[in-house]
Amino acid sequence: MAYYILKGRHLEMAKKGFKIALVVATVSALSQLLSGHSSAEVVAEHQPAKLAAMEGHFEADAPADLYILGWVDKESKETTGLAVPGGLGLLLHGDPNANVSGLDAFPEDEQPSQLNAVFQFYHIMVAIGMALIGLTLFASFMWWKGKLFESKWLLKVFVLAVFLPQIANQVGWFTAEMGRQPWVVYGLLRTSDALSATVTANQVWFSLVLFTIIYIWLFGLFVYLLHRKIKHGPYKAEDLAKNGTHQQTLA
Amino acid sequence: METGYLLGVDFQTWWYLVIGATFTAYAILDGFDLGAGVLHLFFKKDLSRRIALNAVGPLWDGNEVWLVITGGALFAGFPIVYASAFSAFYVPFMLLLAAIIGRAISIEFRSKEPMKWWRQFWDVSYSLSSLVIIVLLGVALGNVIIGLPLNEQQEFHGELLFFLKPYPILIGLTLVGLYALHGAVFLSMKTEGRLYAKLTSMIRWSLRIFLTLFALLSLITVIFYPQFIARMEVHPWLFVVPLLVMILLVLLAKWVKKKKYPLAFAASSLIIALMMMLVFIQQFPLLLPSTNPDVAGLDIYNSASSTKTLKILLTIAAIGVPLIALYFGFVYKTFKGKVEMDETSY
Repeated sequence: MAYYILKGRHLEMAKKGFKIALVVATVSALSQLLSGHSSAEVVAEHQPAKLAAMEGHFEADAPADLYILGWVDKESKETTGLAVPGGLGLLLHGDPNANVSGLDAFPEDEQPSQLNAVFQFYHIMVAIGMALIGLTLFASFMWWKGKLFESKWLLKVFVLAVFLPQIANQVGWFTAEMGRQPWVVYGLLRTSDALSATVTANQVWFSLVLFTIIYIWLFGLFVYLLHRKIKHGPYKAEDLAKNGTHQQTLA
Repeated sequence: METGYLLGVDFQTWWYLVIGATFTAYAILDGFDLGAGVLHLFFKKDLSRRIALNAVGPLWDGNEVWLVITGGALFAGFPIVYASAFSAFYVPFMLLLAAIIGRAISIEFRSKEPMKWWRQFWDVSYSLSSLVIIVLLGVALGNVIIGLPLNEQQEFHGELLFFLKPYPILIGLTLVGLYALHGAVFLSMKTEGRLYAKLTSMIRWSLRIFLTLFALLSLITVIFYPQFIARMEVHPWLFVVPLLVMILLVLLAKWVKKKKYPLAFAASSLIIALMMMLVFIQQFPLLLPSTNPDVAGLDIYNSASSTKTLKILLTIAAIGVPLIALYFGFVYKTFKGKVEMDETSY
């Protein structure tokens, strides 16, 4: 919709559509705070080592900071960066001085091995979530001021913001899957024990390559067809009623 | 082994019947759209291809649900069979998945662009992936019939391409013939009149090909694999099943000639069901025979989940399967009759 407004096409529909989308986006971006918080509580209770890795928290039983940006050094067991002191304890237990179990509370072979990756992916996800909240709130404010469609840069940001939830979704998965290692069923079954006894590494490699190719192929097709649909724009109702000439482009 | 009984039949046997029923449902339902896919390139005009595609359009993806149910039912009820079979067939099943994806996107993307090369590409991809799916399923079924090389832990232990054996491949090709017939009859029923000449010749040809391959398969079975008809020799009344197949084939040809396509489609569906029954009767109670003489095969008793699990599963199936069947009845009722082309067509 932002794209159409920028290009000055289908203005009436695009403006209406943008406002509806903005309401939905603002509500859902804000509700991510709630759902994210409750997910984190579940992780803290059932997969404490994962949570510790997500926040780069090493001390076995100590108050924990909430990082906004940071870097985890696995060797020196230190996390450096910009943090809210006691923030993690505050969010989890309502008390900044509350103790949170850190990575040291778990044996070396029961911790995720890619600590910095888990930390970074998780923080990219959170950062994108916060950015979307900021963006939608700002746009809602502009709407309230009656200047929603006046700033071109805001519309341009919205065109590009299409990718952000996708990225957040992917890095969120990375966090979840890398963070729970070395377990495939947390605390019960190790990934190294969950392998099929008779499937060889080469076979797994084969399927991995096969599906990588398929998904790249699908992504290319998706972008191509979606691009055409966007360029084409909406169908006019009277055209729909009159004839079926557009049928080639509909499913 | 401890087990529960329902109407005098143990839970394991009930679950074997459930799997037999869902797989047969899959064989019949996905059979006609896969068969239509194999025949697709024999239609030359773009409009003919679109009509053929729209005949299966609203139905094909639902039909695949039965394959998922069968896999899930195997996993839940006979997890050891699931583990051994899916490890053994890792490569062919990955290729099968790739073909299923290829087929789905071919159907969805084909008519989104008017360019001739675009449509030709997706037509070929649709037809080829349908063929690959049928052959792979037939080859897998054939290997399950002749058995797998299992080690002492009853895990698969064989070569990477062990599944490429003549007998299973012949089963795969016979299945192509059967599905082409089934698909052609289905298309005749859905497109009455419009593709009449083409479809009548397709039915004739696929009938001939299927009969030839089926005769060859029967001959090879009798000569080289007499153990696969051992149960029929012990219980001669079981010969009723192949006899019925023959009678139905004759009736099918007659009904096609009289343009009674729904009857002909019922006949080809029944033929598939009877062929599946032959396999399931002969295999019982084995699910995965072993080709290793020192290792017992996996049967419904040594590979089943606990009695409690089976009880829960049977309860779920008793509620779920009729619901799915009801839904399918609704979908098929909605899309019954001839194909109509409109702006939402493929």
